[in-house]
Amino acid sequence: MNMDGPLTVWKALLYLFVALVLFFLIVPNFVVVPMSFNDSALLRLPPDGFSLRWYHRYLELPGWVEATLTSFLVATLTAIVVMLIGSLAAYGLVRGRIVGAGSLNSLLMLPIIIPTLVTAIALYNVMSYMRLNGTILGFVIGHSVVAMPFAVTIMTASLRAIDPVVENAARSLGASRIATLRRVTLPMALPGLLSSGLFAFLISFDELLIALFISSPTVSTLPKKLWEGIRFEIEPTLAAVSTLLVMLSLLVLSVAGIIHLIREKRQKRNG
Amino acid sequence: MARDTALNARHFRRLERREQYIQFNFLIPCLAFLFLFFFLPIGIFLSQSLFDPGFTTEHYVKAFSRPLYMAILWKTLKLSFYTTLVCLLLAYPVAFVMAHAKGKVKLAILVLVLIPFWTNILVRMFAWLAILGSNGVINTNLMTLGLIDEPLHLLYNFFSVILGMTHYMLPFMILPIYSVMAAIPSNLTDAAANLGASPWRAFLRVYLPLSLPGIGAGCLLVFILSLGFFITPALMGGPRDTMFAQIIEIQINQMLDWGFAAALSTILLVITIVLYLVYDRLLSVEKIYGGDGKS
Amino acid sequence: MIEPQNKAQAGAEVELRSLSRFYGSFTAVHDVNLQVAPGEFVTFLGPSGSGKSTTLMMIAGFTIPSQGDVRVDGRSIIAQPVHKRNIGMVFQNYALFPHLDVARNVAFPLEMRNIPQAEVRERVARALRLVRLEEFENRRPRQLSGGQQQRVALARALVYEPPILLLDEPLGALDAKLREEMKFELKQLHHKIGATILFVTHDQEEALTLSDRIVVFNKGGISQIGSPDELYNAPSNRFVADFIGETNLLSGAVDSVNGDNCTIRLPGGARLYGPLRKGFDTPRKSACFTLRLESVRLGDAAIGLDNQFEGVIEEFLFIGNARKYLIRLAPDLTITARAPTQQQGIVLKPGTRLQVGWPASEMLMVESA
Ligand SMILES: Nc1ncnc2c1ncn2[C@@H]1O[C@H](COP(=O)(O)OP(=O)(O)O)[C@@H](O)[C@H]1O
Ligand SMILES: [Mg+2]
Repeated sequence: MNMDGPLTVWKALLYLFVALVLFFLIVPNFVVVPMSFNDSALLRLPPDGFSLRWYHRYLELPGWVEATLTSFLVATLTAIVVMLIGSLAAYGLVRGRIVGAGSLNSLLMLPIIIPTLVTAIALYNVMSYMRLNGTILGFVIGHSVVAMPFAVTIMTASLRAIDPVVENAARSLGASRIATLRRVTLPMALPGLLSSGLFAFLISFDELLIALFISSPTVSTLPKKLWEGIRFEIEPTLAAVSTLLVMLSLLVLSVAGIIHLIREKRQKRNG
Repeated sequence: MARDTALNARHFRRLERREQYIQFNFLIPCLAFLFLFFFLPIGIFLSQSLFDPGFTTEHYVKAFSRPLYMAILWKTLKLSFYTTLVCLLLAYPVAFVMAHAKGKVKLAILVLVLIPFWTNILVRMFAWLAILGSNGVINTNLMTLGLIDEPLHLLYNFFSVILGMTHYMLPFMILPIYSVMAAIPSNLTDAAANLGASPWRAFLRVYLPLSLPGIGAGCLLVFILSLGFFITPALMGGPRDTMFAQIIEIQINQMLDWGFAAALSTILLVITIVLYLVYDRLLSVEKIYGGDGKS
Repeated sequence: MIEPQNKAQAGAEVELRSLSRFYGSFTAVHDVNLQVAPGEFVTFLGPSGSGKSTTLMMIAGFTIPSQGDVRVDGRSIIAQPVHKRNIGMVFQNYALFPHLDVARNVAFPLEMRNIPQAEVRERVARALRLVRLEEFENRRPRQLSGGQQQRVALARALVYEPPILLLDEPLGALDAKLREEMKFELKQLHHKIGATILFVTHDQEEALTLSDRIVVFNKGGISQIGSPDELYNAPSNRFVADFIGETNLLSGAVDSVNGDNCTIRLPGGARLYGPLRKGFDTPRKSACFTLRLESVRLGDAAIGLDNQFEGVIEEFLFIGNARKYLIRLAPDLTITARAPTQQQGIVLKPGTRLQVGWPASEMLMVESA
């Protein structure tokens, strides 16, 4: 189909179809927002009136704020762990002349592929043994497992864009391997590193199944609270929490987008 | 001179290793971490399927001989198949338009695909429950309009599970297809058209085959992820729509039968990994996330 | 001539001893032996894939040799890691650090050597002055032209005054005019700094104008080492003769030997009379002669020479103040000749029949391999 040509009936239908699919994709994100500001206790649309009472409830009901703080802490630590370990691994994959690097990479992707439920059960077992259930460290470890493949992937792509000759130049100028990594590779890979950290943060913040299995009655994450809420009763406080989560995702995506744009602009001026 | 070379041979190998294989060390923390907290735990868990506490095949016999479990496995395969099919039908046109759009339009579509992708799944589940529930947006509005007297049963059935799954999986289908389509030279179909093919024939004979790797990768990915999916069937399915991951969860949380849960998990993992190996041949996961899309 | 004491640094002596590098069963570099004097400008010249870069990379330390040794001032550096070798290197695509400005790029090697800030500033300024980029110190590499980037790369490789400077096709990415300018700058720089320079190129023009000595590479080995003059006028083998300058290569079976001369029969039957190469063992069946384009005489001038033929002009080209002719001597034998545009008495158009000849002494026998 010639997409540049005049608008035909077929093309109009295609556009309409695509618009509907995109609408379907985005609807839940925009449904929760008006619901959370609705004055009514019923989840109705169109809303009956504006109110912040569900946000007040979110702050007042026991456990929500604590869970939010726990999630923030866990996600931040996960992002740090994953950035460190994942970017080192990506460097090894990209720069190392390793036999079977492709298979190794496929192996590192397994946490995405294997059902998280199975991972969660398996971890629960080991965590109980190590007495890490319901601890921040336990959450961080579990979430790092799930976020690792994403971080490795983003960092791999970012490191591939760096010309190895520049690293060689640094070494010929007297920089040791470590100094080269710190002074040359790291600054050049910083955008990728930041994105991988951001997405690891988001993955951890949103993770449910592992949290479900390794949390304790006293320590719980936000998604776990949300899950319990949804199973118990659908009510507007959940809409308020959901709206906050949507905002967080949008924030992370925009920051990642800005990082991406800056990098592209730089590369364009370079080339 | 001869002595020199003889002395050096081992030396050279050591230097070569220093220069070439040092990078492998960078992988060690990651591999150690995943080994300790992923491969090892999964290995321990799965091995429980054969010990209770002595060696036994009882759990596998149970899994394969009771019609209930095979029926659920079959149902899960069916659900994954339908989800994949619906996703493909919806994703292909979106990927096509995205691959051929320019500048802002392309970016807008990409953003509209990525936002749900990176939105918490519980938020999306909550939204669907609030929309489709008996007191949900659709039913209340239809009743207010007087079109129906009783709420429609839109939730807790096979259809609602497929809807929720499709919504979750759609980006996993769109992105691989898009990344393959974006690499198809745009003048190819024009060339076919110049050679006298009708647009429809040019599409079928030239474009579709070229986009096939993306379709294959997307379908396999969605199918694999659907097989072990837990959250959506648990929240949007009815009692008759229990899926395979759910019976595993039930064994753990209600039956406390770890051995049997491990046996069921092993069955699930074997199917998943076989499909993943096929998928890995087609297109690496990395290309899908790294090539285009995120960030 | 600039006095040695004016030079900012002293060059080092470099010696390569039977240096080889294999990749599996493939031989990238084979048995390279070379002695480079302090301060010498030596060029590695050869077609692409002939092992020049691999040799350079072994000197820099990025590639580990499979055999042999690299010695600097008599000491083996083979076990030293790259960053301890104190060798300057300029890469084809400059390899500047995109995240640092020009001054920081040039300061990098000094910072790696923990040199005090004040001295760093002073030496960076001096290095930038050397390559005439004083005003650009706050620019990022991407804001510079190709030639300027090249000079930054040079300044960065020179600022720590390494005794050896390696350049791998440094002019390859520049356009023709800039390349010409940079050639002269390089030559001047070499006089100023006095470092030993090893320069890689596949461009014979660059090699001939810049070098004290040229090392011609072919298929991973050294084909000939010599001054530009030697290589140009006395190539020792067919490959060098063909690669350096334009020349006719005429090879055939040895017919008879007569003292220091011999006669060979070209394919097609024509006979050539020329001097034997020193050390040529006569029982050998075939031999190859080179003949410079300007050695070929046309018309009356050709009459009575050792080798004389009747030929037909097939093509001609103007090149500045001379013309180049492609002349057919026999059905499967053509040669190229160059003559001044003002050659009296002959009208040289395609199809013209004329006498073609050259003295035996102007031919040179080379190794066929
Ligand atoms: N890492 C490598 N693995 C395999 N072959 C290589 C490697 N590096 C170089 N080679 C081969 O060695 C030969 C010489 O390469 P190089 O030194 O780069 O040639 P030059 O610089 O003269 O163009 C080439 O045929 C090249 O393909
Ligand atoms: Mg080269």
